[in-house]
Amino acid sequence: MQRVANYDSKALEILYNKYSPILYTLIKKILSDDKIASEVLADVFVIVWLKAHRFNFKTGNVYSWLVLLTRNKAVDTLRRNRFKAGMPEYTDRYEDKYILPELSPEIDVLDLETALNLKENMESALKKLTDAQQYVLYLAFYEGFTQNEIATKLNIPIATVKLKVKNALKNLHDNLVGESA
Amino acid sequence: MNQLKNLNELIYASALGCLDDDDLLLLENFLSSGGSLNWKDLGEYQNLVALLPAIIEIENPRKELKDKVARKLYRVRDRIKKEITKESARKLTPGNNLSHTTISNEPDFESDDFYNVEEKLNTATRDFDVIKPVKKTNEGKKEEFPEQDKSFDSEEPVSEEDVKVDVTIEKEQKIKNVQHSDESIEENIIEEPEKPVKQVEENIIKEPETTLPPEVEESTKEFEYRRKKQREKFAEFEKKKEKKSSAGFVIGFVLFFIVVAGLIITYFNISNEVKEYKTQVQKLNSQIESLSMKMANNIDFERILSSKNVQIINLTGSRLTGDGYGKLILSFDESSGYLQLTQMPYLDENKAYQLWLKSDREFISLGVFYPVARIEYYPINLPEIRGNKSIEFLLTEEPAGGAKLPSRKIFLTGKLK
Repeated sequence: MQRVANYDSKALEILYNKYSPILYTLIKKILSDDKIASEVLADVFVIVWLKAHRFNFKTGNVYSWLVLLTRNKAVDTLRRNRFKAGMPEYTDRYEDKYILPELSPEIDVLDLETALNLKENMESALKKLTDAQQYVLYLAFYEGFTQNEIATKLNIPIATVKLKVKNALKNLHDNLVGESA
Repeated sequence: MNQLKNLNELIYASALGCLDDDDLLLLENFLSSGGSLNWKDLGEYQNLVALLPAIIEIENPRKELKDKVARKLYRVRDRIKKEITKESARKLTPGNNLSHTTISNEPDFESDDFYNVEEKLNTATRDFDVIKPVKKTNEGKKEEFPEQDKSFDSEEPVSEEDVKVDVTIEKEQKIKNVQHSDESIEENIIEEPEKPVKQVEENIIKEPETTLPPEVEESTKEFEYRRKKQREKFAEFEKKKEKKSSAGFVIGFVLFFIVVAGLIITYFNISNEVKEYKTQVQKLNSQIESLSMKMANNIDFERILSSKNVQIINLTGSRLTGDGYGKLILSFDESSGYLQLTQMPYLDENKAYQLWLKSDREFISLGVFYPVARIEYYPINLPEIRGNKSIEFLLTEEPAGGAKLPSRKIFLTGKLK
């Protein structure tokens, strides 16, 4: 990532070769359309190329940074399609605030190999969540709904949605730790 | 203390990327004023969320996509180059206020670094892919399309005057040709018809001189009369035909109009029906979603009821409650429970119910609720309670966003025995 930030194209190519399958898969899951997914993936790598200096090199967590950046970009595209006129203009500042993820300074390092190795554990951890918790996670992460929007969509109080989000993540975390142990 | 707790509650939505703008602003203000969150937890949940796509079946992007990315990078490089060139040109313009020149939406390159950046961008995009960068100069074109360019080169340069001369010569030639042909036609017209006209004239003049026999004259008159009749009949027939065709046209137009009007009416009817069906489908979808949420809540409810240590606390109403009452169904094993509210009085729009847990004179908020139906269940999370402390629950009226401490408007109370 340091090399990418120094405009080393070879490093960007390595990054592309390594991460493009999972990032493309994620975009396809969010946007469904092949053509748009390709466009978004290209956009993501342009953002990486231009804004790699915004990555927190102390944490070194490239995987989470790239996945969350890609999710944000794909969801933004989806929301722009959904709300059309209601969305703010896509500017550099907007990109910095809403697209680039702000990772916690105390985040642990997670790499692609570890993530892929945790696939089965993650699957069973997710299955242990209640349907409501799974649904809320899906609406928030893949459909890009905010908590208020979920509350409106499901016609339930915002407090319930907040609690569902919290419980879903807590339980998922506990389940995953249990699975991995 | 309570504010920090509330802000730390935002880390879940923040990690999942579903914070509302108000909450995001709250979090930003807190952090910019030097506040600190539970960073360890936030990091854990961010990693957890980033693991979500790992369960999807991986699909490799098409190979051409790599080229596309490279092409996009070239475009970005060109755009940055243009911006930098523009900017440096502006900076070089005398009288330009340098302190106000910035490049919007692009990295702020110092003018000294310009060539370095350009070089970096060039090397960067050069290696990324197999695509050759298409140079925008004429030389570049020559390299890419040598034969085509050579053919263009071999031609002698053509000036505007040459073109004009060519065009005028061509025009003159054409005019000459036309004039020439006109002359020849005129000659033909003048020369050739002279004789026949004279002959016809002679014939016309000569004809009346001939005298016809009376039988022939009569038969000619009769013939003339018949011809006249025929002409009249033909004229009448033509008139009728004209009338018929205009009537046909009118009928056709009316029919066309009726068909078009019919189609428009049918279209509007169908589109109205489609709209109605769509709204019905939307209603049904939202019903399905809220039912599935209710069902999911019921599953949670069952889970709590089936846990080992379940406590049910009947909440006693105050004079404010009217016919309303409530219950708490708690599972300390699951650290969660449900608040059931029945026939509670409706509050103003800017007010809400807030549930409190009182332990050792400390009040902990268990949530803010906005009952809209006659009977409602709300999930609640219980804090960790150590030792055998006396625990009391209060349901109070508070501002819509909730309060830090309970107000005196107590609607329901209950004690944990």
